[in-house]
Amino acid sequence: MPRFATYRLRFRSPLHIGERGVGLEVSRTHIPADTLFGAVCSLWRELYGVDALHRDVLDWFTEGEPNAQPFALTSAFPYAGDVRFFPKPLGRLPNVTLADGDEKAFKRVRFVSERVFTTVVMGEPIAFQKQNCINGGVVWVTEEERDRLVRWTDDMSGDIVLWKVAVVPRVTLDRLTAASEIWHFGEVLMAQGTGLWFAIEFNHEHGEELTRRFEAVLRALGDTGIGGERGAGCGLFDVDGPTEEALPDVPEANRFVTLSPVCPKDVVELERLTGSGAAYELMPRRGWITSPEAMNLRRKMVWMFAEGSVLAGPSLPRAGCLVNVRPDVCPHDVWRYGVSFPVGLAATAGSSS
Amino acid sequence: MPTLTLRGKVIITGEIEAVTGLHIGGAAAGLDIGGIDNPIIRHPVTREPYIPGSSLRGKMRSLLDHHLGKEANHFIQRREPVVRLHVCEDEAAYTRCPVCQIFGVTPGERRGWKNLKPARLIVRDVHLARDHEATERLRQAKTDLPFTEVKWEAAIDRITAAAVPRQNERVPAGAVFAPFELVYGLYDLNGTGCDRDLDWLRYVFKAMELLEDDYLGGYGSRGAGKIRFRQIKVEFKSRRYYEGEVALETLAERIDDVRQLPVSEYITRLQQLIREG
Ligand SMILES: [Zn+2]
Repeated sequence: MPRFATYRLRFRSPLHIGERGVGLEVSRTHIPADTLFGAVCSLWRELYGVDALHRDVLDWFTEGEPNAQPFALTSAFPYAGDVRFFPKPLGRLPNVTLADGDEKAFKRVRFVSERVFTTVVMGEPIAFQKQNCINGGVVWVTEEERDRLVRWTDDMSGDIVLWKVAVVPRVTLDRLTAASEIWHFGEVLMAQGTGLWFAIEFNHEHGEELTRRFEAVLRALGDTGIGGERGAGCGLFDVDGPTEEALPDVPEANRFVTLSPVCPKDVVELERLTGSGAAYELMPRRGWITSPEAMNLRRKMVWMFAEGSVLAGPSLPRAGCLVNVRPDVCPHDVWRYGVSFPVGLAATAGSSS
Repeated sequence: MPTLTLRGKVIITGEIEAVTGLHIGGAAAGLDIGGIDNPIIRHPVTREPYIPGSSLRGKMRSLLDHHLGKEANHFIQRREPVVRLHVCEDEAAYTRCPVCQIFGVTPGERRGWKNLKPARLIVRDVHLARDHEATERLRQAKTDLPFTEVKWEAAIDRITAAAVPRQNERVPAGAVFAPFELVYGLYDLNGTGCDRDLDWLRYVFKAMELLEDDYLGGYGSRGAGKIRFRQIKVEFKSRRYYEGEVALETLAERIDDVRQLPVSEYITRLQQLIREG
């Protein structure tokens, strides 16, 4: 199994990651790789300057060969203690057996534990167990992993609760009338000992300085915050790592699960990725630009395949590309990350419809 | 193309003591805790009262607006209650305005501006201090609701002028919230240096001081919401710190009086650290 540098983000404040088109009351419980990449690029620029950002990172993606890219990123998914979670692979999973009446519970699952994920992508048989779904039924773990997570049991509900999406009131003040105005905001609050992890594959031909800079940027990002409502202290974190950790993989598979959102390079790639055996979800990616000369501008919206999508074709070279989402009035290009982070899928796993 | 570089972050941490009862309002209709008319904000997971970073930051901003005589010209909300803040309308004024520089300008027509910097100040939510004797004392005390007391008050009905008794929930005096954390970024735009950002740090300390002399949350005119910053620590993280090259620089430690935080005392040290990278 290939090994990757893995970082863990321990949040010291709530996190708000915008969810499509539903206002401020909702938040995602993971950070998509393009959001992470965008935040890393803007801190890269702040620490090392705009020229260094192009030279170290962007130009390699936009002008170089795919195998010359300096790194590849996964989205940041939850972890608790030593259990990592992954997106549930989409589509029919023939190696997963469901008891009658459990379809609804299975559909509810958004994340699976590392053990479940590995078993599923390796194509080994596994039985879905409703009683091993935790955190309000959105996380499926094995019995053994469930035992490792009991310390997060909530006294009131008896459920294992690792994080909660809470709608919290926020207050805006009027200095003239001193009246306070309350509005509501969706925040992810993570329990102590949990957080988000992501893996990165550094291209070692770029040297150690690249890794050193990436880590400096990541630590500075922790004191700047990621996601929305940063001024009110949301999205601040401490960084642990890196540790070398394995990810499952089936080499030379003809389908893969992506651990990052994917934006196809062209129509040919789009058709290949959505070919036989694919099962995917499209998500619109939008948001604001945060550069000093384009503050308060909205990015162009793009559609990407969501993490957990099962895509057709070989995993390497990596599918997807950076996409320019520069609005017409913006004086510079705005790049969003859409390169796949593939986990090869066994022929006996995943959808075949 | 403008160049914007981060020269470091000043991190201010410590404790907030409630000198008098503290009432930061929640929504009575949505929360409905035992029929209290005026419940306070509670953390949805721990169910403990806390101070939202946005309240703390908003109050600091409005006190500084007032202190510097800034006009509240920007409507955040036009319907009742009207919510307004000061926001500079032209770039020349923004360039000189510590409030807009520290707290940022709100979305609007600022497209042509060449010298926009990110808001300098980040303020975190502050929770009841963990493993702190003040929190333990509150836990042991048989208060009406967990960690809070309920005060009966007579509100005057505006139409009939009759006194209407109502309940009002407060975190009792003596409660300690910690850690509070303020993160202040120092930026260089187009190679002009960050001396101005350094100089404006004093307005952050000023806003903390103004807040101690004012109140946080509701019922301030009736004595509620007086707070004090304690055990204040000021640290500096440079780029070389983030690169793992140098240790964290402590500029001030265990300060119990905000007035003892004049930036002039460590400005030379900060300038030196910034020069070193
Ligand atoms: Zn201003």
